[in-house]
Amino acid sequence: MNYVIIGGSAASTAAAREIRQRDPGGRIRLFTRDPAFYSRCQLHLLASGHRQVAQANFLPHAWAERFRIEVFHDDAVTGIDTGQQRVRTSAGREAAYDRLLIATGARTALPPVAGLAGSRTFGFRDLADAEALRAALPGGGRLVIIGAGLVGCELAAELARDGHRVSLVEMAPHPLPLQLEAETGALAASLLSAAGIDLHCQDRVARVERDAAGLPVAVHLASGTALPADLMVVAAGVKANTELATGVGITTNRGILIDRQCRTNLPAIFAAGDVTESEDVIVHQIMPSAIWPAAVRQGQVAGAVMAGDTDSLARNTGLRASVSLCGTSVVAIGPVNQATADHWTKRVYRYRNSRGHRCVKIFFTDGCRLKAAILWGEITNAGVYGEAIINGRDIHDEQIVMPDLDGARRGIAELSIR
Amino acid sequence: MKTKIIDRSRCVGCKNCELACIVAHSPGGQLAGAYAAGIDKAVRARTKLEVDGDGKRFPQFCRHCAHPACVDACMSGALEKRADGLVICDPDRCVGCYMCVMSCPYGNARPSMGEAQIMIKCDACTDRACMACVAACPTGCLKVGEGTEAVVYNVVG
Repeated sequence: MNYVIIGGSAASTAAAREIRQRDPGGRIRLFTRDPAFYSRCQLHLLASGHRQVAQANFLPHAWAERFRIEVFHDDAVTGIDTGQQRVRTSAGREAAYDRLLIATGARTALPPVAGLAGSRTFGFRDLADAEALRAALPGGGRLVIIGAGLVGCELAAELARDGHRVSLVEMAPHPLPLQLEAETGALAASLLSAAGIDLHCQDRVARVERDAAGLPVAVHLASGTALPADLMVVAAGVKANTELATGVGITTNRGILIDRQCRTNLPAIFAAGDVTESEDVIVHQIMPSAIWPAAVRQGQVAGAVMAGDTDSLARNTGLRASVSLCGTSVVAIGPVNQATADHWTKRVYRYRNSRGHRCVKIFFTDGCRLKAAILWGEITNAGVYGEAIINGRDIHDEQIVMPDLDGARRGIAELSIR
Repeated sequence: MKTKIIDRSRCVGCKNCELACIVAHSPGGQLAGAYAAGIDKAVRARTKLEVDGDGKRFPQFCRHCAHPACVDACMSGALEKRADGLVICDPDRCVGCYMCVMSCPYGNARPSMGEAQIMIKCDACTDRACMACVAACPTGCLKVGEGTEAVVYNVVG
């Protein structure tokens, strides 16, 4: 059996491994435009220089040799011939497949803002983005990061820690709008501001002013504020790399639509990772799931099914995030941003832990069911709450409502073990 | 292969396992070392006594799962399911993203809370002659054995 895998990150490598474990004699070829294997979750560490690209390799030593994967770096697949079942690559290679996996990921989507496209504006999805930013940083000057989601916040905090002058612009009322609600959002805003970040929420970039040479001068916000700017990073929204798929009639929406076995609408072609949309187990909606563990899970399912085994995305979700904000750990699980509009009950516990850290735990419940949770400052046992949310477990009300947090956790910990 | 075997019925909640775990992972292998970096950065236990709904105490330890969610969530490659069955974290590769903490359904991947922002978990005392928690257990709740009796944490999960 010939397997061709397009992409070199979480989903594609997980798939390759699962295929090899089931098909010892199959030929597995992996084509990626990336020059090396690196963790996209570590781009902020690469941009700051606190990690080198070799350290960001997320695979075990001698991975390709061990699993006998033929890896072609710097070689993007440029076309798929579904009739002949072959792919062509930018380096001029051709490869026949019996099973094909598209795991091409996503890229930065540049918002339609006058003057934004141009020199010293960076996306932030790829090694090239991080290296370009790193090369531009020693010039000093003001950095404006557009978008205070996970990527924008982590990058802002990382660069502010090194003494760079950073502004962060977010349209929502607070940073991490998909992960936090108003109270924890306000805590996040205070933390980022205390770290020296010039934070502008509930505002948006109206235009970028450039000088005669085309270099940026200032970022003008809708509120009228002008932020002096020498460098800009766009961390507000991504676009799935679906071009290969749409060209051959694969059904796409925001991403390639896949079923629970990671199949596309075309036989023999599978997709996984940030390029896809699939059903989320928590909210039962078809949506992208842009987190590492979800991409790995999709890759595992795709690989197993490609090799003729059975597996399912039945319990997969992208509605989970873990982020460290200036040293404070935060985990959010479930649709926390939709919760207040629903009929769920919101319970907030504020306390200081045994080490004196300020902590907040927020639970959204629907009757006996835990639906979403935000853990701020103390995240131990986050996975236990996640397990209860993902599996829709009934939590006895007295256990979750109990002001004694250990009691609440205890109820769930017990359930997870049964 | 030797694995940790837990007879939950024998647990009396003495917490000797937690203490032994802290000592084993503290600088100098001494309890005093646990507080060398200050009380807010004190060494944590990698094991935990929990209380069930009936008030009965039981040890909640890493199961070194057959399909470990922590490894699937690890974006740095620090966590690995080894050929010997153990799930081990390489602290030099861990960047403290804590997606493992977010993902372990048993709550056994934890933030270190110490000087370095990394995850900690049971390392099965691979660099010691005996698992510290097992050696310290006075009731026979924790034992090392070959296998199929009680809970064998390597095959769960």
